[in-house]
Amino acid sequence: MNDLLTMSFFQNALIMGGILSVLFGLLSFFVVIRRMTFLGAGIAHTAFGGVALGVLLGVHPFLTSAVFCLVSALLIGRLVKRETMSYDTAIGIFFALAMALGALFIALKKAYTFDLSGYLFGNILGLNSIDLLVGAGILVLFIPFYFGFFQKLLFASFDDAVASTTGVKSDTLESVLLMFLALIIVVSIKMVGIILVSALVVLPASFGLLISRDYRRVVAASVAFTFVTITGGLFLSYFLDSPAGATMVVVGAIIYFMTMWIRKT
Amino acid sequence: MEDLPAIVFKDVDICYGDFVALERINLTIARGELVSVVGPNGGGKTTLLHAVLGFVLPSSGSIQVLEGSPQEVQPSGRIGYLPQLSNYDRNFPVSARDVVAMARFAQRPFGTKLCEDDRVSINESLNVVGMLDKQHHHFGSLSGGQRQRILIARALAGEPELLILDEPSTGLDAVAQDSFYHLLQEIRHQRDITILMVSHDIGTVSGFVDQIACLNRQLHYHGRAKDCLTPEIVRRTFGPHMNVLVHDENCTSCEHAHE
Ligand SMILES: Nc1ncnc2c1ncn2[C@@H]1O[C@H](COP(=O)(O)OP(=O)(O)OP(=O)(O)O)[C@@H](O)[C@H]1O
Ligand SMILES: [Mg+2]
Repeated sequence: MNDLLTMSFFQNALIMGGILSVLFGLLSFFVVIRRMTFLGAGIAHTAFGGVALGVLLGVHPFLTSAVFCLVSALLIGRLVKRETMSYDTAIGIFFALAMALGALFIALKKAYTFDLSGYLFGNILGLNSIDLLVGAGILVLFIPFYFGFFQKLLFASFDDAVASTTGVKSDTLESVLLMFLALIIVVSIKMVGIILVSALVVLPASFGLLISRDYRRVVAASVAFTFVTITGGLFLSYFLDSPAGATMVVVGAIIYFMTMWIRKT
Repeated sequence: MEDLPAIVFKDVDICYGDFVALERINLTIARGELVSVVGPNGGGKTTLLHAVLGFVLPSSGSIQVLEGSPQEVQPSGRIGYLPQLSNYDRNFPVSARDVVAMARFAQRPFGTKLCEDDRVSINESLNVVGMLDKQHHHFGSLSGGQRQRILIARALAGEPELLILDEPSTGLDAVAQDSFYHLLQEIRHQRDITILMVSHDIGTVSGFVDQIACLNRQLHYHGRAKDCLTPEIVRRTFGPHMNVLVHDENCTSCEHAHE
């Protein structure tokens, strides 16, 4: 155990886990109560196109996937606001388009020298101090936004039209929230991977809603759940010698379903 | 300032694509008045309110609300709004009080908590709709009428100058409806605010409001409710079968009109 904690890759993973616990725990609340969970999965998948483009151009995949995710998050938001498309339609199209572009970029590159499964399912060995710095930077920006605008975000999520008649800039708030969603997803890719990240978007607040119907407790439970899931998953993956991201998702799902079952009986 | 009207529509047309929902609307509502819009389903009542709120733009004509354009006034928090039959997510994790508090939080600067004034106003609004004892209940678990009362309380809590209510009596029981209309009159006198609402029960409403506006794409009538609202007008607005709709015991104001 002591050995484990002194290993630098594991330290990095734990620190990143702590950062992501707060980020996803908080973010998940608004994604779930706004019924945008499919959006989380959709945006994560568009990151694949970005990663592949980065590999093709020889740019850091983090940058290109951040661009892909941000652009698709904002475009989807705009298209839905203008009632050009429904969320499901817009996400379904972007999702597939970005994956297709990703496949094309990889085919163009020809050489399969990069760790595809690492991007898809996460690879904590790849975490470095730059990732931690970026994660911490996003945390520092996200926390004031989240708590400063919490009540306005809550109002806009509950009742968009009425919120806007009382001076809440719900469109702007939603756009900023979507931008954070995109950024948070991108920084978590090394930890959990493109395919698994949607679990971290959906599960925390869904768990919180099982526990309470008071938003304060839902948010608190959501953060606690994410922390237990990520750190629990990390330790377990070390002892079982299993992939970390996948282990976290399984741990989270087990906690969720156990809680649901206990609440029912 | 006081004498300027709260709402002015000048030759307003509103279209959804090719469809003309409102045609040549001229309407002036003075400050402090309680006005009800009546009309058949699809007559454009909600559209009229949306135009006041700035959600839809006129394709011609001009609208003034509280001395500004709807777009200018909308974000100022001077308007309280209750939408028609909103479908809220029953699992949304807020209490009845949290919902009313939203109206106050909306006006707070970035990251600040509620102050004493806010709390007083929230309590008063909850009290006025008779929901103080249920304030800590989960909003989604309340009955439809109780939720409607909470949403009315939220519209009041912002202490607006103009209150816009789209079918506020939907879901209220007979007692609550009656006391609700009394309440509107009371609020109007106490706080000197203008109230524009949509209602379907012409009979009841015409006993309470100052002015009534009959809307079916065009404005067929706008004026005092009592005595002046003739069956001709009602028929023009609602079509020839309207008598069936207004013939009931509650319909005191147009009693003589049916004969
Ligand atoms: N967003 C929209 N797009 C297209 N047409 C619309 C839209 N909103 C309303 N309409 C049309 O405009 C007309 C007026 O609608 P509105 O909702 O204002 O009626 P209403 O008087 O409020 O009816 P109700 O009594 O049923 O509430 C209707 O024919 C409706 O189909
Ligand atoms: Mg309507």
